[in-house]
Amino acid sequence: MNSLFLLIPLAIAMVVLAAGFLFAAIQGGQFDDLERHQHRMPDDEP
Amino acid sequence: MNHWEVYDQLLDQVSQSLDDGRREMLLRVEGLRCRACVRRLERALPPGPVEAQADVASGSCLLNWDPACLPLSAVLQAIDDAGFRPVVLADDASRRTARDERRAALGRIGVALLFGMQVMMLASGEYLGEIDPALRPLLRHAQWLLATPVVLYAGWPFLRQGFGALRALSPTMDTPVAIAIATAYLASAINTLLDTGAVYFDSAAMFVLLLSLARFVEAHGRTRAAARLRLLAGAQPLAALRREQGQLLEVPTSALRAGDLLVVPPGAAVAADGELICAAAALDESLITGEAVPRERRQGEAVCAGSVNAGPLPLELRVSSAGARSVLSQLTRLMQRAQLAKPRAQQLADRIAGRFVGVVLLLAAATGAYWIGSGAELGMSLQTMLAVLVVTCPCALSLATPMAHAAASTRLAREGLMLVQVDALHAATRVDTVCLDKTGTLTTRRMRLQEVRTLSTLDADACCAVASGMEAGLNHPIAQAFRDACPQAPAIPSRLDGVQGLRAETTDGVWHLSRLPSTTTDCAGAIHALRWLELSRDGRPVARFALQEQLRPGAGAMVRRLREMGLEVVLFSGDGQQAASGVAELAGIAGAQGNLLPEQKLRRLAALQAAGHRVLAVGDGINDGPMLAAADVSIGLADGAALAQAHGDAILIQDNLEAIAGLLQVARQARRIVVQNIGWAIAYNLTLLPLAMSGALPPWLAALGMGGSSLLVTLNAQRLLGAVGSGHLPVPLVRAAQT
Repeated sequence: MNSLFLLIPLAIAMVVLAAGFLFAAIQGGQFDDLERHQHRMPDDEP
Repeated sequence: MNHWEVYDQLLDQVSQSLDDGRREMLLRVEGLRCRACVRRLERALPPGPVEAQADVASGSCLLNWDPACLPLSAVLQAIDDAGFRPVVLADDASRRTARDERRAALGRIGVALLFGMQVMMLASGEYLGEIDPALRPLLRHAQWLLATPVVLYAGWPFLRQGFGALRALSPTMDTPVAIAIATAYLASAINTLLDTGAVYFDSAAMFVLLLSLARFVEAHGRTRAAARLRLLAGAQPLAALRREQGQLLEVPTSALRAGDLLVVPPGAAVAADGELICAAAALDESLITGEAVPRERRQGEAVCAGSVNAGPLPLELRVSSAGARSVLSQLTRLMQRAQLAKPRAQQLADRIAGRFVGVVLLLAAATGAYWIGSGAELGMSLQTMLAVLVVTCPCALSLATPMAHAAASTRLAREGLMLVQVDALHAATRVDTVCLDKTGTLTTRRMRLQEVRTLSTLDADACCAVASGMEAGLNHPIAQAFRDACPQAPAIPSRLDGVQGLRAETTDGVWHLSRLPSTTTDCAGAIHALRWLELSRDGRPVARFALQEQLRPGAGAMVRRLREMGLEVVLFSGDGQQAASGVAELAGIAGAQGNLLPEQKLRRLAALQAAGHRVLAVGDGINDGPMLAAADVSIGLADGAALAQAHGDAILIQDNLEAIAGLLQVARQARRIVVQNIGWAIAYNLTLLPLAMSGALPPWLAALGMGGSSLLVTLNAQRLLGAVGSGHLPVPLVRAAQT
């Protein structure tokens, strides 16, 4: 059971890390426009 | 010197400065049609000083450039040289605000999701069975730590708005939400510190997550619709060509004064109201009057700002009034006035919520007082009070409506309709009359050559070729119709001939192509023939052409479905009565009224409303703006004038009118689901409240019931989405080429 004293803080640290990555992605503009990129496919429109 | 240089002076009006000294602006780019065009455009600009992100779908380009390296005029010239026509729009700070808000909302949802999941996982232990007392403090402190960012960061908008409204003594629906979140969080924190009772961090986290998601979906639809509108807002030109001592100078529109001489090149919009100086000109005034066919104006006649030079030659005018006094600005103001008169359904909901929260707080206080008064121990009394607060938490009640509205917006977006005002869903359930505009709404802006009647020995094809050749240099629906019918006809140099039409001189003789007066009776045989033109050679009629306006796809199906739903459909048009009746008959509409000015449309609509009808108005031109703003519910078309859309409750983005009938159907469905949800939430609260007050319901069970209740309401709302995959992909409206 003592393992929980290690695993829970570890889980919290990983969540914080994941949130950090998410924020970096959001601030980098990855979620700004989810519509546009479907039109950027290499095939040209007629 | 290039004519884009005027925009270097207007830098602050058209772009926004960024922190690093660069500037950013959104351009509308005409001629951007495919991925190859995007490459061509992006390659035309020097990659270091200019970063361009072109978007085919919206026909726009986001420019980020360094004004110290390269003036804006050079960038615009480069785009122009690459074969595109940049249209400079007035800068709108709301675009960046919307982007920042979206980022913040996504961040909140992410935090609520990531941390909330951990909280729920840790909490599940206590639900499943006894926890080792030695481990309990660890688990609870971990939950507390993880729930704190969820409540304080993700839940901050609810807390701030809820308690802000409470401080202002006008509680809104956010107030009970804020109290519930704060209570659950604080009570859990106290229980964690004292290591007694139960904790509800998981309930608080899940509640914040669900609420944030619902609000985000709701707001997302609105920002997307608004972004489309801004792109089309090129109605009032920012700059004009002024003649000064024989020289042409591009000046900002704001610098124009009465008496200035302006030159308007073909295809450009007039920047200020004025008086025509050149002999004759063809003007597309569809923005102001809704009339699709350009009007011929003669020397001395008035010209409105916003109308477009549809002739082959530049026209000249003397400014009579500029800026706020122009007809266009006045129409805009008329529209704003009508909009202010709209009732707000939201206020009612907030008033109800205010009373609700008052009652809840009183009940909780009374329960606590009773239990303390009856001699129970303090801990037990607090537990009961908390159970009352949790059980009466209006989670399900406050999710009932937004969840249904979010699902309805998503469903409508799939059908090709953007909901701008969510309140419109409620109003749409009571609509019993639908008012349609004709030109550009029920019909497309294109016309079709329906019939050629020859009146001499010259055969139909030859007549068609001559007429087509004469119209070749022009850019309006009639010319387009001839081009479609006779694409190979060689151009014949022609010029405007007074108000009646075109004149051309060839070796065969002098040709005239003129509009027949609408009262001509010998031609009015077929109902489809809405406009007649006559071609004559040396004064003798040679042929007559019948041009038909084309119905937009789905017009018939929409009218049929609206009829089946028991609604009345009427057509209001600025065009002649004959034209209006013809189109109405084609679409299956019984009542059509023509020759209506914008004010008259507004008056007809007000008369309908005074007679007790609830009206849905559909339109596109600015002339419909007042009508749209005054209607109970309004729908604008995405290829119409920008202002009309800005005032629509919903915007049709798909070239299929049937979605309008879909709006009314979804609104009715949404109303049913909202009623079911609210009914469930109230029944649940009322049933469990006595149990909680009597102390029979422990707070953790109340919290479990609250979660289940919220989930049930959310799932019920999802039924609005309908079968996934049933909707076909929306075909974007092809914007009519800017004439």
